[in-house]
Amino acid sequence: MFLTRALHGRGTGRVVAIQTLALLPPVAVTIWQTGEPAIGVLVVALIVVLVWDYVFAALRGHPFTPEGITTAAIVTVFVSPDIPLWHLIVVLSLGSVVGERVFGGRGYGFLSPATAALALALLSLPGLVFPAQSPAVALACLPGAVLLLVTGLLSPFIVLGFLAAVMLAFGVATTPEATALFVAGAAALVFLVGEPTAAAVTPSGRIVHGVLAGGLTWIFGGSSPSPPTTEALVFAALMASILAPLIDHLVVSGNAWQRQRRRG
Amino acid sequence: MIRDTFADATHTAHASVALLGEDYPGVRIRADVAQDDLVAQGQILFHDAGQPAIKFVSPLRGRVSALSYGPRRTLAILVIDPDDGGPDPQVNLPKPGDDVRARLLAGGLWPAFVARPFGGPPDADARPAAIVVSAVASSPVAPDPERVLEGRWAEFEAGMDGLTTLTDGPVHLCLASGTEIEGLSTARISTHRRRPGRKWRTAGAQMARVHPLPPGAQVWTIGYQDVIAAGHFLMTGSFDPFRTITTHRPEWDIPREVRVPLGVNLDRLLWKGERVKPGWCLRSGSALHGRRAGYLGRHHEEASIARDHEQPHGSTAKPLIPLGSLDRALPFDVPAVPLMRALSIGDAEVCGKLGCLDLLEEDVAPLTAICTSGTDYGRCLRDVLDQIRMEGAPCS
Repeated sequence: MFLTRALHGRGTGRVVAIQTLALLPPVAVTIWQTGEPAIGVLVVALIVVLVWDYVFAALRGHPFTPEGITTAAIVTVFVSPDIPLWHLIVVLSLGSVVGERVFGGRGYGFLSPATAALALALLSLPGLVFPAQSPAVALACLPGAVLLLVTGLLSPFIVLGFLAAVMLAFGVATTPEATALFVAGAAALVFLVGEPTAAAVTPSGRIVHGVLAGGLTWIFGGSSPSPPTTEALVFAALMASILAPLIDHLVVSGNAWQRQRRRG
Repeated sequence: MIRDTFADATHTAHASVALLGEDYPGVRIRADVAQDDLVAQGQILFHDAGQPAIKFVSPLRGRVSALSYGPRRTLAILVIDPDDGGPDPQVNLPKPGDDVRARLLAGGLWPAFVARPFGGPPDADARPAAIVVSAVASSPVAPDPERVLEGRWAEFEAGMDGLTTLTDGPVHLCLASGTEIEGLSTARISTHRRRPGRKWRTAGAQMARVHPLPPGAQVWTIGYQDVIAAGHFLMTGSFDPFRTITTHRPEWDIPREVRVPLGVNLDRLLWKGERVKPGWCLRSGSALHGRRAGYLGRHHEEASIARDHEQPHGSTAKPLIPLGSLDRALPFDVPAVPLMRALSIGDAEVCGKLGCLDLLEEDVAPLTAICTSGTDYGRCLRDVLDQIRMEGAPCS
């Protein structure tokens, strides 16, 4: 009961805190599995995004909120730990600035900076491959997913839409298949596709958003029944969030048309 | 659930009362009394400048101790202090006639109606597409309508009969499931019973369910206690200013029921001379839809001491994070987050398309409470409604 209202009437600071809390287990598991390189990635990523947060806050005369913490944590979970540092710095800077800061910060833009940074990393460095998610990381996303669902930062409509679409597209029939799909997609669903500021905002729009992200994952993965790659998931999340305003526009127009028809 | 302490009227005999401009949005007034005048109960205090037939009357006998105007000659506040001494004040009580409309107008009962769209009392000569009577407790701790109606069914029936003469459409009576009603034989009254929940407690939610606003038409809403008062007036010709409300203090386990005059001073009713504690404030109306206030709102049936959540207005706008709980905050088929975005930038065209004409300030109060941005959506909605009213109805 307390958690469902934890964000009511509070600012973005509390939102970032809850999202960071949700990201702690997967980040901890990533560090536990990969060791020092992952810590290096996390530290560099934190420095880069927080510097940009601070620079923009100072330039605009806004109070500083460490919104970038979540961006850095998400990137740490997804990128391979041997990524060249200069490359990490460039894509994170671009992702943070173009994906979030130029719009005014978290909640003003239409993209998730983490998704933008990951997509830029894949586009700008040919041959870069993200490691497949491990079962431990996927499991570690679950407590965070519950926390985000309860506080309203992750929409059940998006989750259900996404799950329905991938289960259909990948033709899941057996438990091992479902497990493989869960391991591959859990982190991307909770932290990339489900990011509330980069998703559709109407209930039916959210279902469409989830279904779209799931369908695109299958298409970008080469329409094969093998579990989706992280690259496919990142691009699907990016395309879905770019299309989210359009989805909302269509839902709102349909809603207005229905109201007009019903009331004569 | 509610303590059975029906305090009598003497409980608040020495509390001042006030009429508040925020209950009558868009109404410009002409005063019929001046400051320091003695007024009788039911005496006309002021009338609508645009429609002189709409009168506002005094809930009690006393002295006008304050009268101040808001922008464009709207009412800010008119305070009456109780005063039993001195000569009898000049009374211009309305004469009874046959026409219900004329009698309600002259008797000062017209402002009990809230017209949608735009809110406030309806035009004196308007005929709504329907009238929605709410006889559901507006929150779990509001007075139980069945208890309030006990022994007053005759007046309620007279009031309901009166309402049927004001509209060519139906009069909808909204009740909690299981409420037994007495009388009410008229075919024009349709009763609706539902389990009281978030989508059945407020007048706006009930209207959205039983009679959504038809394009270009009005729907009026009125509370059951105002129907009783109207019936009482139509039967006896005297103005009944008393309403049953519940009061709640944090240290009380359960709220208490009291009968108080309209617009009673909450300071007197709740603090009782104590010092105001920092971080707490007086609230008129329910936890979800009420407002910070010194006097009881015209349509409120609850008053409490509540935590002061009013946020100081920061220098910078904070962002809106589309939380899932916002979707369930509106009992209307209006998409919440697109509406909030359109309201916060004052986009009247998009707001109209989204269905903002169905809404009034109280309906969007939950959005203000939940939203991370600290935006006052009630105020934004009022600005947008004023803009639409001035420019004529939007095409939607």
